[in-house]
Amino acid sequence: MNYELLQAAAASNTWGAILPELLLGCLALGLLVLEIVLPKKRHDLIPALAIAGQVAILVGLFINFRTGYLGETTFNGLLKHTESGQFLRAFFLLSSILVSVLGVVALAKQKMPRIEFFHIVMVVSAAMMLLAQANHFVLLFVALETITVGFYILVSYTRSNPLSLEAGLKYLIMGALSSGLLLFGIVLLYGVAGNPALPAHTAESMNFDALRLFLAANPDNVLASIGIVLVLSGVAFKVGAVPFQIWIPDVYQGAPTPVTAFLAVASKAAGFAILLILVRTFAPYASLTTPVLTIMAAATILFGNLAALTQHNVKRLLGLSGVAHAGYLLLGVVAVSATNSALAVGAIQFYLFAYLLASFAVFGVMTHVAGMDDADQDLDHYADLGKTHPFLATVLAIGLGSLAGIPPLAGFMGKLLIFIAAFKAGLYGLLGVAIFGVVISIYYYFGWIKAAFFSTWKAEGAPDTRPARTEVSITARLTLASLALASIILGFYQGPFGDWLMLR
Amino acid sequence: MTSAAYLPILIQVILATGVGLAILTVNRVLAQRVRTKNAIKDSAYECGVKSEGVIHTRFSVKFYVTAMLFILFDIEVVFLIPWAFIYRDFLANNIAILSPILFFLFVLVLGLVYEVKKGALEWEK
Repeated sequence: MNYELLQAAAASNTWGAILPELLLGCLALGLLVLEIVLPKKRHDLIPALAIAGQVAILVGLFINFRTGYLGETTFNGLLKHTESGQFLRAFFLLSSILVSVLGVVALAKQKMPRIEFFHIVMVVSAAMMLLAQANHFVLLFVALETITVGFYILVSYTRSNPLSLEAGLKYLIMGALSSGLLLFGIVLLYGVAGNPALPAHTAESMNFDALRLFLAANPDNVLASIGIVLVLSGVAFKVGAVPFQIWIPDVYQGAPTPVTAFLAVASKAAGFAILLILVRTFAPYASLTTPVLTIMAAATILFGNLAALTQHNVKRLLGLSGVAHAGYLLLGVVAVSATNSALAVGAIQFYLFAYLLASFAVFGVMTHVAGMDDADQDLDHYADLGKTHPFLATVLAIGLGSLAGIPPLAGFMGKLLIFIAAFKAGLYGLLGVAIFGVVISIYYYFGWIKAAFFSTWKAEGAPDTRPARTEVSITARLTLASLALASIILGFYQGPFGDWLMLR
Repeated sequence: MTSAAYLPILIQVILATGVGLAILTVNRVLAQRVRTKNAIKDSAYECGVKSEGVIHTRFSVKFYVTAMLFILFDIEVVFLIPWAFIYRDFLANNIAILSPILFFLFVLVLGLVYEVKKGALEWEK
């Protein structure tokens, strides 16, 4: 046995580099311990503790944002610490906090075990944070599986609701299929890059840096091409890009609302985090990845927007509009693939952040409007919201406006930046499709705003069959207000945050 | 690698197909069945009375829980065996291997305590 290699490998296990993930994981375990230790009536403390702990980790991450590990690889090449990785870590942690806040509201309506929900959300978030820094296929796959296995449980969490169970089963089957595609692709790339008959073959063929060098030395290898397309397909499942979007409406509808938000924001962002890493790894094959991603992006934008037009269930509507958002983000990925522009990477990250703010504002309002049955949320239920709950209606309008990309909200800036990046990369055709998609999307987003502000509940005197709206607690009110405010402020003034994203 | 090196795999594939086919053929030839086409006479019977209820009974969910917990701990022990083989060599060469496995065992025991406290091991509730 070669002990020097092993010693070097052991020395690169710098646990301090993944301290936020470790703390999050320990906090998640701690919640389960508390559940056993604390008496039943004190259990309300645990979610509050979970949220406070996550906020503390987020603050710690910000204080230590420019860690000494930036630009280095640790854990024997498994992880690569970059500024993008740091941004995404904060992103996933923030979405985990917001999901926990929504979870408190939504779980109060159900007779369900509470603590496991927060535990799984935090474990999934820790895996996402690792995924954003992956530099190796093994880590990528293990982190991705941790995320999806967690989501199988979360999606079918309200197990007394048949729609939730159906969603869980569909997600399980589709997730297994996508993992299979991804693995097939990884195996092909691993095999072909380790083949001693080819130039620049490598023993570390799962490592992205080594793989990139190999691909550059073998510009048109058929097996590698098939592997690349399969890996991209596997990831496309996770972000819900056409033709792998078929699971989205049913799963989004059946899952509990906070989980839908988690799927829509964090899971999608995780997919794009991998996609950005992979596109740069596959850069020598840009003549293959660019057309594949271009067709995918165009089809995704058109399908998402056209399918969302006819929806009455707001969760399905948001799911399909999320497909369209994945399309706009793919437009940015195509720009990265075609020209490797740093502007496009910054634009994608800005878009993701604006999408997080707007989506969680909308999902937050949905959690308060929904009743016991989480899958039954129609546009009709929003009638009179403007009169009875002006606060919720305002937050909803700002969130939807930002999603639609109405200036001066943050969503507009996100779209603008992505479109500029695409214009600079010379993707005029795709840009036309995207602008067409945006125009369509305004129809359904404003249909929802209209339902909230200008519609009244059916006829005068008709029985009100809508679920009762939940009272907005102070925490939820503060969270929603700050999300809406951030959407507005980020639209006017990007400040140092925008500079940092664009000028790296 | 020459293609001759893949010969064992080919033999394995042929063997697998051959055994499967052989079992099916033997069953076809030797099985006791009515030669004429008569589905009722070939069906499972209960002392000549019409069979009642479903053939596949549903198992209690307790069995699944136990099986799942077994697999969980079984696989975790699988990690311990290679560790036990190499830890002396690693320690002799100053490679930290003790504290990671202790943390792993700590989480394992924590899981066991959680399981017991949650009542997953109580058969009768």
